[in-house]
Amino acid sequence: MTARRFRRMGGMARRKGFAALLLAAASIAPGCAGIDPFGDPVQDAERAALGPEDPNVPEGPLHRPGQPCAVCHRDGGEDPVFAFAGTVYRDPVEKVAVADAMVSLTDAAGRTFMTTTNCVGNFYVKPSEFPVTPPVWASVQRIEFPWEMESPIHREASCARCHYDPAGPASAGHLFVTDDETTFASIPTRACTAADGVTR
Amino acid sequence: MTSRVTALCVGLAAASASCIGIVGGESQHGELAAPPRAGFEQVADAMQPSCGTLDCHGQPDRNLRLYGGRGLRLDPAATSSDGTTSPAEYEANYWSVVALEPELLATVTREGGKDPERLMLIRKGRGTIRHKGGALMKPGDDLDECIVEWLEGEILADRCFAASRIGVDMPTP
Repeated sequence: MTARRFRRMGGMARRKGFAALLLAAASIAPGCAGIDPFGDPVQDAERAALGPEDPNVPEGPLHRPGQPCAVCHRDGGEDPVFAFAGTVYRDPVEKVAVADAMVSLTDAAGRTFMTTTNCVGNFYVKPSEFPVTPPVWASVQRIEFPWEMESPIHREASCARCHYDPAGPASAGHLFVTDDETTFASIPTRACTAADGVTR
Repeated sequence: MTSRVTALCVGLAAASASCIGIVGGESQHGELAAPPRAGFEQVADAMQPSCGTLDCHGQPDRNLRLYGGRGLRLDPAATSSDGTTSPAEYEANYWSVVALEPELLATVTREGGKDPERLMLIRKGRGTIRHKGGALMKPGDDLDECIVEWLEGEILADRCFAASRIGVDMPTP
C-alpha cells in the first residue's frame, strides 16, 4: 500500500467519523424546548426564554398566550408555521383576553385576510392561508370600531416580539381592542369550548 | 540576503506608515461632506414606516439604527406607542444614516448626489442588493425621491410627507 493511498484511507475514515458524529449529534437534538447543537444560539436563547409549557394547557391553539409564537412556529421549527400570530387583550392596562375579536390583515398587494381570536385571545395565520406581499397593515375589532395598528408589519410573524409588557423603548405594549374605559368594561369574556382547541 | 530583507521591511514599514497617515489624517482631521442636517427630520419621518419599524431597523442591534415615535425610542422612559419622534432621535437618525459609509457618502455629496446607488442605503432600499426587508422603494417613488433629493442637497417636503404616510394610510384593497 502506498503512502498516498494510506493517507486517502485515513481521510475517508476521518470523514466517516465526522459523519457519525453528525448523526449522533442530530439524534440527540431535541425539539423546540431544547438546545440544538447545530442551531442558532440566538434562537436557542429565545426558545429557552419562553420557559416550560403550562402543565394544565395542552399544546395547541390555547397554549402560551402572549408569547412570541413564531419563535417556535417558524420555517424549520414546529408545525404549523405561522405567517402571523399573537394574542389580543381587552385594554392597554389589564391583560384580559378577548375572544372572538376580528383580526384583519391587509398586505401591500391589497389582499385582506381575516381571522378571529379564541377564548384565550390567541390567533394565528398560516402562510398557506395568506401568502403576503409585505408590508402588512393590521387591525383588531371586538366593538363597533376597529383598533388599527399605526405602523406596518414588514417581516415579523410574532406580534409579541414588538408588543410585550411593559410598554417601553422597544415595545408598544400588548395588543388591545380599545383604550376607552367606558367601552372595554362591557366587553365580555367567555369560557373555552372544544372548538377553541382545534387546530386548523 | 539579510540586507535585502531588511530593506524590504523598512520599505514596507515606510509605505504602510504613509498610508496610515493619509487615511488617518483625512478621517480624523479632515471634514467629510454630508447631506444637510437641516430638514432631515422630514427624511427621517419618510424612512420611519418603511425602514424604522420595530421589526426592521428599529432595533438596537442594527448598523443602521433608526429611532421614531412609533418605533425604537432613544429615551428609556419613552414607549413605542408615544407617537412623536424627539429632536434627539432625529439627531441620532441623522448620524446613523451619514455614518453608514461616510467616505463614500462624502464623495456622493461632493458630486451633488450623482449616482446614488453607490451607497448601500440606496441599493438596499431599492433591493438591488440582498436586503432582508426586500425592495422598499424604487426610483421615482416618494421614499426614493425624498432620500435621493436629500443626497443632492434638497428636501422635497411633499414627497417626504407622502412617504411618511405609508405606515399610516392603509392600502386600498
